[in-house]
Amino acid sequence: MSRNKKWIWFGIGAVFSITLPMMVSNPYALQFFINMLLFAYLATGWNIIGGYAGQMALGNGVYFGIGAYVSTVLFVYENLSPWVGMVLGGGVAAFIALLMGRMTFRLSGSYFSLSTVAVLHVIRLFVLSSNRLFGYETRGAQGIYVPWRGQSFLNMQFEGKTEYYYIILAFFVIGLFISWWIKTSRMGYYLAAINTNQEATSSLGVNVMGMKLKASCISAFMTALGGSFYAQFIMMVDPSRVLGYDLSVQIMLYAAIGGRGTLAGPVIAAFLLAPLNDLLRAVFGTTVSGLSLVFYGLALMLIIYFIPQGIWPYVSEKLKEMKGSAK
Amino acid sequence: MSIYLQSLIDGLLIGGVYATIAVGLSLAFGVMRIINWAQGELLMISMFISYWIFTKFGIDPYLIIFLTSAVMFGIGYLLQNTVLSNILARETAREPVSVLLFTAGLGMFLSNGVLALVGSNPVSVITRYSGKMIQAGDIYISLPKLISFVIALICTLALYFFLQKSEMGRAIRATAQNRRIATLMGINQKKIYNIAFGISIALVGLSGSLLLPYYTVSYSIGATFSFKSFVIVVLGGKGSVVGALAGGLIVGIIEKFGGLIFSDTYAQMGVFIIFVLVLLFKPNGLMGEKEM
Repeated sequence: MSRNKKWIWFGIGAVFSITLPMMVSNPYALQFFINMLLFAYLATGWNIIGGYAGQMALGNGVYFGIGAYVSTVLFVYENLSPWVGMVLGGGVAAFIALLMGRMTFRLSGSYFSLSTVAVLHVIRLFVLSSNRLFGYETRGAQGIYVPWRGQSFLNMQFEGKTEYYYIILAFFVIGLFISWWIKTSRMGYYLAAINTNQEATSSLGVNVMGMKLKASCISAFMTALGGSFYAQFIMMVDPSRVLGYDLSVQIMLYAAIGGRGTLAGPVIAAFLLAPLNDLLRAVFGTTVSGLSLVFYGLALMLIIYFIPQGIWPYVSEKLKEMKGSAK
Repeated sequence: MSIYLQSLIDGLLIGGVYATIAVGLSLAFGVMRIINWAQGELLMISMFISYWIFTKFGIDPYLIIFLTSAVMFGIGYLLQNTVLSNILARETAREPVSVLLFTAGLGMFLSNGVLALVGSNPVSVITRYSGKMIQAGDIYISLPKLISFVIALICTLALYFFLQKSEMGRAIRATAQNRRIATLMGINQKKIYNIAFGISIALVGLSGSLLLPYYTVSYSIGATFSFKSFVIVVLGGKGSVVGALAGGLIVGIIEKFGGLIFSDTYAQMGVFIIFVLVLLFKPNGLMGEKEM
């Protein structure tokens, strides 16, 4: 694709996404798009450690939960703005990613994946069974409701959904930019090399552990910010919503279906699949819960079987082939 | 004192069934280097099949084990023969990530499929021997738990001797040690993989029927069991039947003792923390062999 064409597409995307809330007045429909952007953002965050660096982390939900809990607790009990709270939450998440990474990056392949799930379960069970955490009342499985303190940007509370849409759009754009920047920078090449052959990369003098830790911390920070946003948006946190194992798999699944290690893959898959959940709920009602996850599971199996590299690498390759034959 | 002995026995009894589930996982992990992320969900399916047969036809769960293990063997064999083998053939890495992703998708599909079909209500069965206890002094032993434990133990030991003594068992172990050399020795690798994975899933099928008489089943129990099995495999060292047996018993005991002294949630956390510690300090398991 020529450079000009790329900018045209970019322009169309920008105009469409900015004017969308003006075209869509139904708040329910806008929620579709908020969900899409949130999951595209989360999958992009996962992709940095899981795609670029090839470390199959299956517990990224833990950072989502940390972000959600930290900003919410500080907002509810200390009256601290969620904007500050989410940065603190991101810091905590990055710190935990650092600790975890130092311990678990030595493990190979499946063992690493297992250890990330184990840590997720430990933290989930810990939150689930504690009524107080660090002196703040978190009420275990019940979770915390975020009180309404009036519409204000500082409180990240709005009566409509339009503002939330713009916030997550900004998150998404910044996240995508970070992902692009990492991919095209020296770090991206190092990560790709680690993904291909860790021993060879290490023997060339690349600090493999340092690179993985850096990628993991960035990924954790991004995911935590998403968690903070989600908590403000739905106005509550509880362990099953923000610390679930299913959520972790879902984040990973978009990236795996779209194409691990590509910039656009996770975004495309999230845009295609995330609305399915809302759509099915709209069609069948809440009586058929779990139906969207049935489709997600099926989609993952089919993609891994037929096009293991993911949708986006496959499609872009086919497009190139078509162009080649047209000439 | 007797309360501790009681916990010890309860832990051993449930641990025996955990071990049978984990032995299957361990076998697949050892032979094919794949982690079956859907192990627990397949267990859940087996429990639902057993439940359905019991309520429809009134057949005793301990007789259903023949059916469930045969059916699940077939499912495992076919899954490996038609799907997983193709995915594995493309993989060059030693521990294929795509199989992990595929089975994660399968697990999600199965658990939520059951949720959509039968709902989230947990179900359990009442048999003639439900709630029957054997009293020995101050100790009470649940009869169904004891029967399940004994059957699980017999099957695990049978598998051990099958792997040690039989021609097929030796071929499976040879493939686990070095698949290239095993192929050179005239072992049909594809067939071995099919059978190993079939056995792995058959053990899950068996365990499902064994758990049903005293365990409540719902769509969501799979993930818990998957993870417990991973813990046990890591404790015991991958591919080791005896290790998995020991690991299963250890996890069962930790759960019951942790539940007695602290709470069930803390006991669960304890299992996961021990898992991470073992991974970090003894990655080949407590009794695993060194990697070649």
